Amino acid sequence: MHTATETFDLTARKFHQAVCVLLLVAAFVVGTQAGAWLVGFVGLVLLAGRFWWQADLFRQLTWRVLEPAGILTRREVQENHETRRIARVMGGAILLVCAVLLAAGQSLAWIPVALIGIMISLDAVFNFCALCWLTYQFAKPAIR
Amino acid sequence: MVERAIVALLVIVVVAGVSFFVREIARRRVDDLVGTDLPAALAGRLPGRTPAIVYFYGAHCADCRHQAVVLEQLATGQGIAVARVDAASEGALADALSVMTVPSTVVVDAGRRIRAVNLGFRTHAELLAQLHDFGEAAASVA
Repeated sequence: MHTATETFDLTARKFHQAVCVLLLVAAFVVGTQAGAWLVGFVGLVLLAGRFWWQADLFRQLTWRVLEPAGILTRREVQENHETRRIARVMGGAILLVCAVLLAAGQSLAWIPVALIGIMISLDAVFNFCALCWLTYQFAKPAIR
Repeated sequence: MVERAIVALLVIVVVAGVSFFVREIARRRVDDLVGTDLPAALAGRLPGRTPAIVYFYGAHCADCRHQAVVLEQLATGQGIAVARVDAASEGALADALSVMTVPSTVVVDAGRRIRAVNLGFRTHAELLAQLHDFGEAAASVA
């Protein structure tokens, strides 16, 4: 259970998010068939990394290589990761499905890939929780 | 591949532009609110004459549970009054304070004047700093 004093490595989160977005962009640029593998890889890291630390590859890279080497500086901040964990499971699952669709030649699957990339970017740059905003927008009464 | 790279770049530019534009609008809305009086409907829910926080939450909001823990710490540790508002069922109040997401918190002084509007989760340290900024933080409860 979260406590208000629990802290997380902000640097590792942002690096993880930046790499995810860069790989998704690279996947799109490379093209449908080859890009599907990259999309699937990102989806796997998001999904598997949520439940098994060792699979959280980009954070592991940060903690084992980049921070000890002084390339990145660890920054502990008080954050709530509960919503982010929900979002990464949803995002990871959707990306895996999209990877299969892209491999099957369904180019429209790039749309959800792009949306997930945008939401990750908004959190990385602005600490904006798109899932929180969407949940609130749908919960508001339709007619005031 | 070049065409795809151009498309990707265009999408990034458009998203960045829209994001900064929306943030600027939100910032201006918040700036317009700071210094104004809290709506009477909310001021009436805050007991006493000490700095207080109006907390907008959502029923299915995971971040809101964490925000509630932070606010409970402020209430018990610093004696800050907190009024909870379900943003979905009391939408008019949420709209009046430019609440666009939950959790959101509105920090008011003892005179029920708005001092800060926070869209999204804020830590204990951030809220305490805002309360101290206008120099009227309640004395710690012994």
